[in-house]
Amino acid sequence: MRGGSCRRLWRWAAAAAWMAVLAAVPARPAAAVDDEVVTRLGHTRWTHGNSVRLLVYPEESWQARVELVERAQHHVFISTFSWHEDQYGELFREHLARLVRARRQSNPDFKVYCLVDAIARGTFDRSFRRLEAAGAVVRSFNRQSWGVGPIYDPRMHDKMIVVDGRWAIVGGRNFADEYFDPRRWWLDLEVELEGEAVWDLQLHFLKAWQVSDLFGNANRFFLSEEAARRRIATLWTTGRLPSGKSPLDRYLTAKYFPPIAGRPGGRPVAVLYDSPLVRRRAATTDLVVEMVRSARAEVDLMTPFPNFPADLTEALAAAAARGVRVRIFVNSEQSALRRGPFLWAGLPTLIELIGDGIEVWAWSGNGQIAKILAETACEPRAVPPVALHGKLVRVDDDLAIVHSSNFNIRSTYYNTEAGVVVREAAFNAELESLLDGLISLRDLRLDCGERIDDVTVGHVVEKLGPDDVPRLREILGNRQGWVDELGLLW
Amino acid sequence: MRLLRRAWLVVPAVVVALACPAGLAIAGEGAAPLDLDAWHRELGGADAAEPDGDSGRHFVLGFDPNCSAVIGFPNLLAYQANLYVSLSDSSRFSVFVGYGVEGGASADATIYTLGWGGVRRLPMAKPQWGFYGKFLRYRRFEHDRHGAHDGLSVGTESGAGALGMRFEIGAARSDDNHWLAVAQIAFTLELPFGIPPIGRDGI
Repeated sequence: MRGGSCRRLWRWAAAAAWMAVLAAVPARPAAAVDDEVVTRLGHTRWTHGNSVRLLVYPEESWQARVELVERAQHHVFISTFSWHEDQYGELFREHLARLVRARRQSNPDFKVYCLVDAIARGTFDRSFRRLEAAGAVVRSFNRQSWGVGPIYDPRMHDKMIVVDGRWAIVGGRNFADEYFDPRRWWLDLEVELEGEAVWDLQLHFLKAWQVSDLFGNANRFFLSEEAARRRIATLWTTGRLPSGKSPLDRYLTAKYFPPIAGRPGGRPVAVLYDSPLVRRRAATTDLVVEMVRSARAEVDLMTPFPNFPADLTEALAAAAARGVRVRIFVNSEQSALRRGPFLWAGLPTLIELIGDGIEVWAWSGNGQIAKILAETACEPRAVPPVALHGKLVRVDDDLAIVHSSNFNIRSTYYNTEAGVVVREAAFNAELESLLDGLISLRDLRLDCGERIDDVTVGHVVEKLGPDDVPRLREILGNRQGWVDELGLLW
Repeated sequence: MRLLRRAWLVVPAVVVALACPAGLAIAGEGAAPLDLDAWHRELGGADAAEPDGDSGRHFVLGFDPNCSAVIGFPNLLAYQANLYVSLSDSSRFSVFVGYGVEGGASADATIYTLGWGGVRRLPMAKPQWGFYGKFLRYRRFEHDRHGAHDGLSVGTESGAGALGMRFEIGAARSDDNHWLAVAQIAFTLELPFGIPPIGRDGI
């Protein structure tokens, strides 16, 4: 009896040890980009114990940001590229205005800072007045009145909401109907964060906030561009101005950076932030190139604007050549977010990638679905996205990036961008299943309810192959030369 | 033996005693102020000083011949042609000088420009040159009716590839105290280039 118990115990122990070994061995080979490479190329640090929630669908994303700002007791920081005067743009502005008024009654120190790109803000300037009247401070990023900044100067393309230094949302969504209207939504990606990573994100916001105020037009006129950039770069990389003083000092308190109680989640996150005012080339693109170069089994990349820098295109081609499955997710010409040169600029890259044997998946939901819905009076409970606006990279079952960067020329050299890189198999798998789900919509049927039969939409996503190249060349025509030469615009 | 067992009990107690103050500090009250310098070292600040480092310094001797259609005073509509020569280390300084001519319905001018800025490399799908500068200008106007004027103006000029814009404001005065306003917006065609030429990576 005693010997039998012992044997059983040994069997259990052996089985447990075997399970532990199996659990330790990854199902697929891990990528070779280690933590040190991420921090070095990304100019970042790893933070641990973060809660990271992927936000994909418009309703959940809207709900998440409304609830996020509702939690605010001390401050809300928002940066965005565009903030339209449409239904959802106005709704969020009104929501914020109400929040500021309500919070200020009990806490006069409550702050809402909004940083909007100067070009986008200029377009909708009037619409911010009520928000400002309520007590929010709205600034324009990188004003260029009368040419005091060069026409190729950076635009602020990062999008983040940081609340009380505790919670944040960062990713690809601006404030406009196409990001939140479930009837005609762009598929976008962002993450809701809680944990130490929020501090890094907030630090970047505060620097951008300082930079927006650092140079009035007169200052900027008399400073040489090199001196201006040197001041900004010094502030960004050291937290101090060249004089040694730090405009960030007043924010380094527990009110802005409250101590993090425990570990809200278990995910290691590194915040990625790019500013051409600080570095000529985006750290995110450098990291993506390295991730692709080191990939061993799979690379997935989604972007609405695929005119990549040459080294990224080459890295993708080389990965495919060594047997890595490379999938690129883009919009087809029917679903293009912007037409004309914005569409044409990406075509040379796509033609090259198709020639290199890369799987290029083109989303073409827009025209077909809208037309079918109009013709059949079908009102499905869920409408697939009309276009892709999400930006992600995932490699093997290891690193995954969700970002505002399109990984293209403009994002690499001329935009500020923000996002996160997450090292966790489960998060990576979540993104993979999302992409697999998109591909599965090749034979889409819309559930129109009980009154109307289901509608077959057919192919809303298709894999582009060599047969599609002549069509893409025809769309591009003889425009490649001037599209490349004016490439900073798209 | 019993003493040894008690010693084992002491170890967790010591661990808890050491951990608690740290936990309390993390939990809030009495938290140490954030160390900005340490934080930035962790964020890679030490190796991120590209603007000061030699890696960011590339001397460029630039040339930017350009011609413009000018809208504004004193001619309402005029042409202008300039040649700028610039020197930059792409990191700390850039200066340029220029010589040009302007012609219009009521006044012609010779233009001397001194500015900060110059020809720059712009990374794109096909890397190319651009121009950005802010300047002071001296002009010698020959006005149809009021003769010679000496003018001073300030302005900005910015271009990417072959296209650019210029804004300028100032005034000119003749010996007999006749004044001309200088307020112009110009659309320019440019041909900026530099030495050494652009490499494959845009640098």
